[in-house]
Amino acid sequence: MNMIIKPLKHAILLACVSLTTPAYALDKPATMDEMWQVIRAQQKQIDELRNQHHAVEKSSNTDTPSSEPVATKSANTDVKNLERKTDVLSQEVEKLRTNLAIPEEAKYKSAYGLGPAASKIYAAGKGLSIGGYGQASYQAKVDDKGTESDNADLERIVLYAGYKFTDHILFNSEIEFEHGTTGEGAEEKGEVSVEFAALDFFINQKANIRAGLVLMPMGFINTIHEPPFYFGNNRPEVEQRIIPSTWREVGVGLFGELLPNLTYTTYVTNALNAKEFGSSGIREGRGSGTEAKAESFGYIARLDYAPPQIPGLSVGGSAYVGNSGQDQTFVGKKVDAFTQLYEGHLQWKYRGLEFRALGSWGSIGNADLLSQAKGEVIGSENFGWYTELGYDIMPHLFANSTQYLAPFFRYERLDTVAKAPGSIGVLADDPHQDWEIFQVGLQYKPIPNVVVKADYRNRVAKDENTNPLSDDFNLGFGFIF
Amino acid sequence: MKHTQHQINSAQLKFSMNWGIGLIFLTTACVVNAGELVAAKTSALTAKEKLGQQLFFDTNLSTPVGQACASCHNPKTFFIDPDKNQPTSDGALPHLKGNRNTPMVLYNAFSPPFHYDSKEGLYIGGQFLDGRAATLAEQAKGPFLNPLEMANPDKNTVVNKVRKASYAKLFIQVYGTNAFNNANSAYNKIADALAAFERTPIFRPFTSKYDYFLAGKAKFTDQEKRGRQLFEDENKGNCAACHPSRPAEDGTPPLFTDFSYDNLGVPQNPNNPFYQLPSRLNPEGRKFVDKGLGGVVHETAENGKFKVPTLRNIAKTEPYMHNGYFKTLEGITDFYSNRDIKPVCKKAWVTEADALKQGCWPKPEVTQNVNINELGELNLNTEEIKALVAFLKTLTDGYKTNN
Repeated sequence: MNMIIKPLKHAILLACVSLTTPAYALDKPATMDEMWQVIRAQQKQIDELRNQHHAVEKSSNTDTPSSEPVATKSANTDVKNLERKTDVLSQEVEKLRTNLAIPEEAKYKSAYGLGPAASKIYAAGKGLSIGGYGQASYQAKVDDKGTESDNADLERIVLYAGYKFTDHILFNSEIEFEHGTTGEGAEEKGEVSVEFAALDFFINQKANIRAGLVLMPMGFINTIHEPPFYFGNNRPEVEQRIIPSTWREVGVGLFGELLPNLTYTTYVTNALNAKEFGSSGIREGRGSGTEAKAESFGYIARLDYAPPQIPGLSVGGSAYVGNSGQDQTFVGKKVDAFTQLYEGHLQWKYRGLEFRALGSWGSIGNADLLSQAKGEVIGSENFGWYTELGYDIMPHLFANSTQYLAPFFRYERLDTVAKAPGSIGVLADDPHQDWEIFQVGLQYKPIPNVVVKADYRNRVAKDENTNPLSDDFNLGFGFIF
Repeated sequence: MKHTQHQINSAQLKFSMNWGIGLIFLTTACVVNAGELVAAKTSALTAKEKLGQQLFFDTNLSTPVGQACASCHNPKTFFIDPDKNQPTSDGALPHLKGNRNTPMVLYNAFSPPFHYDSKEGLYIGGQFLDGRAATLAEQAKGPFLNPLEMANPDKNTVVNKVRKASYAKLFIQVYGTNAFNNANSAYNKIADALAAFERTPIFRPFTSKYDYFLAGKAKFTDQEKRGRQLFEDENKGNCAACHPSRPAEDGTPPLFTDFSYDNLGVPQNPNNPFYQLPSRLNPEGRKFVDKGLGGVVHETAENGKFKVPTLRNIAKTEPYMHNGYFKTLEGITDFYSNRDIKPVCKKAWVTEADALKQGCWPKPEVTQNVNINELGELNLNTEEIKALVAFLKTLTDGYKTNN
């Protein structure tokens, strides 16, 4: 027993010590006020030295001339030194002041699987870091319009706020405003959500802890959904209906780099809620940290590998398992509703070429009872996959341009009721959930942070003849900061 | 104005609801029609429920004798008046007729006690079309003494009839040897037994094609599927807003009512026999306006509102609406879809058939508080109306599956 406890104690102690160690010794003034005090003190010193200097000069005029050069020289050097110091401090103050309004140019680099703008806090020094993104689009339903309307939507405005307490503990969050407003009546379509809000504890490169409302690390979009980093105005449907982005739950887990280029993330979270599953998938079963049911737990893990031999390539996969019954009854019975979702993905970015492929498969236990309770079929299996290819043609048009222009093509195939729990009535397959999507578009980035998107989607359901899906043209923009 | 499903609080009811779900599977094999259903289930009843059953079918309990509860709530016609030729029902004195269409008793036990839901800002539940009785037992006390219905002069008369009935022993067995001593409390016990009977699974068969569809045991045609979709689509029928079509959280099959009250703008029914009654019973004659809930709670904002009925057995329980104005589902669906699109009929007192012929709808009986947000301009085409009606026809109890 002792043999186990002792190393454990040491590990905990080490973790605690490393967590509480300050980022660096406080030799620099931390705030502008402190800085001003230092400057004032130094100014005072300078003034005093000047007075001394004058006094020495005066006395030297009356005293012996031989001592003069030495005293004046040393006083002069002191004054100069202090003046230089004051200058440096003044510049620092100015820098601090401007930094409040215009931060230093951030390095937009994805960290720990988060989006580049969401990752700013990881590169920042101590204190607050603000980032964000936004997107808006115009959608015209060009075919099979049905009762749907063309629309113009401020889809999202998002603020990231991160705070680095020490080099070892930081808080990061994403607050999202969707569809413009949460007002009354026709305006009430808007939503405000915390997409994630978690504390990171950095202990070891191989094992760091994250706790809070976390993004479930599945697929490309769920963790990195900033508009410049995916094609098209709409996120791929596979990553909305099969992998329910933005999927976040309250949980705790580990993340880190196991070996060079091999990263992982794993969490224990509250499980999904099967009461909210439907024909269109598990998406509505997300807890999203809003008093989510936590009678059962979900487990998720992800691995990513970027082989150094092939630059720009990364492959990975993830898995989620958990009971979604949450101790509720479905047509009079308590069920587990064991829910699984697996996903594999590959990305290759090479010399302007961007290729992605993702496949996902899921299963839901007790789908028959779930369907009966819901009054619509819930698939006992679901699947989806897509592949996309884009190529930056700007270097071929203007050799010296730093801008980006990429035509792209995406093909998606998905079915939320890939396998129905029965063949009759509410248990029978719903062909309207079996989709195929052909999408082409153009992506233009004048600078890497800003993107203008145009795309067309031909969406086809299996029962297209009787109940078609609308096809759309989308024009929009997005940005990160 | 979406109304949420209301759960019934009584533990007893919850217990029997679960029972009812089981019944979907139990009853259908032997059920041919609702009448036989009553016979088939009698053996499972408690003494109180059996007493309620005796009372329900006793034609001796009116003055003059000859009319039972079951006369207007006939199990063979889904517990409505078998006489479909008139919009309202005869009383014990056949020349006296009520002013309202007889409601179906099936599934009424699910209606929560009458109350004001301050969160929704709506009156909810209760019994009768206007909610004037809070509970089933309160409701059961009404018709015995209504001069246009069973027409007994007082409670004592009813109690005395029960005292002399063949089932008086059963009454004493259930309520004790002193049960008849006090007329007032004996009358309450009669109502209590009737309510107990109306809470039995007999009154909630849940054996429609739709129930089998939900259980994964019956196939819908494409038209029925389409109808269901239109029924639920907020941009189309939007019917499910007040007539929820999905199972409740606790597993209760869909009841197709949220037990709220609404003014649909139903016109006056020229064929309502109430208008012909002597001024002693209807002093206003043709000027009579049925205020519905407004007449009960005495709030003008509730005038013209009636309780949202279940749509179960709708295809078999015509005529429809509080005054029996509509005789066909097609007519009603057209009214929902086109009330505010078609012109208002130039003349008043136009029947459903004439209005359909003339391509107009008469003005509402109560012009205030008409629900213009959820119906009146649904823009359904003929194919869609047919699909909706096809779906409504799947709500009839007594469906037989092949397996």
